[in-house]
Amino acid sequence: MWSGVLGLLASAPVEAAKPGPVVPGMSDHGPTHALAEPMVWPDGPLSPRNANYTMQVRWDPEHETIEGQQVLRWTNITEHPTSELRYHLYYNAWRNDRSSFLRRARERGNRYDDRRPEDWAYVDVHELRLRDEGAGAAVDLHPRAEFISPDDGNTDDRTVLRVPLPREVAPGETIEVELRFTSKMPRTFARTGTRGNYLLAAQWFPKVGVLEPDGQWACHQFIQTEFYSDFGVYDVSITAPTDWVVGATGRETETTEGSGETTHRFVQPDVHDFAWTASTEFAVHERRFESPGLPPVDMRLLLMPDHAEHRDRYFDATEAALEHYGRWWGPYPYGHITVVDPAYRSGTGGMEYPTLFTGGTRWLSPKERRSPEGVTVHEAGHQFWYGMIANDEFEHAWLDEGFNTYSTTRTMEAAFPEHAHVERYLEGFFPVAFPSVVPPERTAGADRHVGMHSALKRDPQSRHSWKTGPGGYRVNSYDKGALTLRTLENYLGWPTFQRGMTHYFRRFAFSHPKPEDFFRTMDLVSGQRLDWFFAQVWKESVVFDYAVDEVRSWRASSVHGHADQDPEETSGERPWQSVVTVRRWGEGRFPVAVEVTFADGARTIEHWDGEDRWQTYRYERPARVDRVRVDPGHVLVLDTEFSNNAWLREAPAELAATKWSSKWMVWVQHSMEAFAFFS
Amino acid sequence: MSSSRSQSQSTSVGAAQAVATGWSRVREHWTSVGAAYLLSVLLALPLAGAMQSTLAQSLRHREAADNLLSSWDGLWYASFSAQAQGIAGTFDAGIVGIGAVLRALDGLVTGAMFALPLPLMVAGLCYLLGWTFLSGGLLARFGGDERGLIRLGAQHFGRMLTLAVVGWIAWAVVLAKMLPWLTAWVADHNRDVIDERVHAAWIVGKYLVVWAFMLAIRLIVDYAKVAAIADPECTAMTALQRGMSLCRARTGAIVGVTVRLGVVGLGLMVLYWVVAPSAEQANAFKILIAFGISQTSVIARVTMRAWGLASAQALAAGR
Repeated sequence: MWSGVLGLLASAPVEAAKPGPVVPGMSDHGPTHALAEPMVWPDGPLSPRNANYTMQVRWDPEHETIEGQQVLRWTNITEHPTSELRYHLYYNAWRNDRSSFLRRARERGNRYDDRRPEDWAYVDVHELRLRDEGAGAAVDLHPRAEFISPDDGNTDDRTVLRVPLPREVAPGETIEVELRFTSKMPRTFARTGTRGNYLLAAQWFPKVGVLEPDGQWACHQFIQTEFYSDFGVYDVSITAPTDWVVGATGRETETTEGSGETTHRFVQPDVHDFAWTASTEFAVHERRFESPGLPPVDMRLLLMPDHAEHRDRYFDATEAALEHYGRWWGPYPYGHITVVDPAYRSGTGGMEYPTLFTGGTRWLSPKERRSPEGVTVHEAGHQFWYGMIANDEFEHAWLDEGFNTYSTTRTMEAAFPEHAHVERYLEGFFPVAFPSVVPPERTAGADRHVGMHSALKRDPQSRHSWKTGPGGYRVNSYDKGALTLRTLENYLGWPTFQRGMTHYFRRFAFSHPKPEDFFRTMDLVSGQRLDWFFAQVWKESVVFDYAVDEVRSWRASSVHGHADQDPEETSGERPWQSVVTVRRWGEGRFPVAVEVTFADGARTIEHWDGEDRWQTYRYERPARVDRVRVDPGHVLVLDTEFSNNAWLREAPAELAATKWSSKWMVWVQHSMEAFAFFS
Repeated sequence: MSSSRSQSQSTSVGAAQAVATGWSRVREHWTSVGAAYLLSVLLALPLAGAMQSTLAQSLRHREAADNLLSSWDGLWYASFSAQAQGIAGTFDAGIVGIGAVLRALDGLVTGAMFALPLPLMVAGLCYLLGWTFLSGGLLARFGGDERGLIRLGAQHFGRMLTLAVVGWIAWAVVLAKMLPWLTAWVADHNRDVIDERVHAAWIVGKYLVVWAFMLAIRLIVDYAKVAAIADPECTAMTALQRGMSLCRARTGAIVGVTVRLGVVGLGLMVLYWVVAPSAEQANAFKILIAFGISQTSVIARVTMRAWGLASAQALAAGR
């Protein structure tokens, strides 16, 4: 269907973006409203629900273990039969330092030699049976199960368990597999684990991989990325000491008191993971999110005592995400959400799981720092980009992290625009805000541009995330993904861009889209072929850097040499000759506007297709050139070096340098006073 | 050569009186104190000039110059800092207003100041030696010797330097041995603490313990200097013994002086916090005014140091 539609699309001409466009629905702080009609999720299943789990687990704080029983009801929704299942056993990534996760970590300079014996983790599967109605009694699958290492061949890695089945599972057929397992919680690795009387249990149970439409298993070893799994219904009963407050994916439907223990039953359909948290220190707060046109959401905040002051900040940020993401992309469908304030130094902050996420803040956190607001918006936003748009994070992490980072920035600009530089002192415990120093937003101004020039070359974004080299995962998934979308928004304009994003979101919610799905959606909605752009930012690893190179102006003089004209005819006020050369220093090509301002206030806009390495513009005007800007509207936020985009004849460089060096001098003097202590 | 003013006082002087006397001596010799401030300016100016040149080079014909004049330009800074080396690497927005004071204090308290780039370390060491030199002259003048500051500083420099070296050895033990050991111990003790307030209290406690030792050494060295100036014939080691004896004998009064001066210093810092210039000076006049205001914080630091020496001398002289 896609190719048919695309065939109708003409190759759109590439036009330079106009500076400072007036876009409907935009305020100074971003989009104020959505241009798509509000939607209502249909009643009934939202997802295929082909990986359904029923689990009973017991948390043993003394030994930091989770004993569990699991029944997986799995349906083959592909068109290919399969004769095996593959399970992720994530906690085995920290079983010992021979795992692929820790080998990779060591290769990149992270050592874990200081770990105590009790800090390591594992997940052991004790029993594994196929409930097979045709065969009568359950079939023991355990003897034939084996650990495999499809990605790197590391035979010491035990993060993928292959389970051969006694017979093929036909397309559309459902099987039930029961297993018993023990998970030993780590002292936090990769944002799951324990610290003191707090735990965050994520990726803690044996979880089946995804059988892709081509009949191949997507069940990667756990090396450096995040996760991927199918949608289903989770029905999980957690037994924990009664004084531990428990929060989890889903709604708590049943609570049963025992002798010193309480069993909490959580049920959640249409999600693809289940995480839970518990602590003796949590205080429980609740608030209801209500906004016209959006479904209400019951918010449950589990708050640590040292962050009691941040209660409303957590709620406000969660509401901002539900509001803005809900209006821009699509409404949040689950009706409830659990916000976890992670324990101090637990290393579990800033993680997303279906209907539950961890924020993170400090005991002292000035409003200007926007913490917990930033991380809360981001992780709540993952309910959309990851929770509902469930792309394969092993392979295309940017589809959720990049999209969500972009959306986070937009939400922060709209809901929490006030921010400033914050310094922390005495090992970071005591912050001071500097309101007169405002750092740029993350993607609007790209405050993460330090080192981006080389960072963007590390890997093409099309390289599977688990394969990216050192430093490539972060920059490709978060920064480049977000900058790509912001550039696209600026290029297409908010109305078209939002329509495209909304269309993509609603079309692919509760499924596993690929990058190509997004590209085709944007082509379709914008009515343009955007291959030229996506090829550069996705398939290749080019950098964009446009700059003003040279600007010269001079008075036209009388002719030297053999004049072809009577000198008297050229007497009087002679015009200024000016030449402006702009350059493309990077390999990336993008159409840019060039704004030239003259000393008499006149202004002209050139539209450069950005193809050649350089372009020269010549002018004969009554005044000389005073200011030149390439891409004055900052359309191309992927430009890795903004500071060379403008040229000012009379830039107050000396005065500005004097101002800031005089401030720096005061710090030098105070530092010398520190030395004088030792006199 | 010992001070006639010192000899005239034979009754025991309390902390409050010592602080008051110290202040009057600082006021009487404000030009000498001004010399210490001048040293600060002379050492910092070349560095500031180098920084100005680096910044100006980076801002030439750039729009960022406009932005930096009105406030800050994060995009320019991202580019600048990615290439900055040496002293340029120490430039960022955190030096605005009270940030200059707090960052320097933080560097002192945590020991981070010893990781500064070489030019700043050299300037700091020169200033340190300058103060070692000036402290002899200042104490002599506070004691009533009317000869020139430089001459007096030169006369006492050998013993002042010896005392400073003794201090360096003691401080090095505290910072290089005691602080890392305490840091490891606190980290281990707080391994499972999940309340940041508890951990913060332990960190504050750690630095209080470390800096109690640091200050104790500071006071012993200061009172040894006072003893050395009071008796030009005594050796540095004798002066050190006398300083330690004095600290033992008059611990209460010495702590009283230190606390009083500490409160004044803290008050001045809070006051400066209120008036400290922000990042928003957009013309030469405002930049000049901001610079003048910020220099008062340096003058206050220099004055407080001199006041401490003068108060110590007043206390020692009136024992």
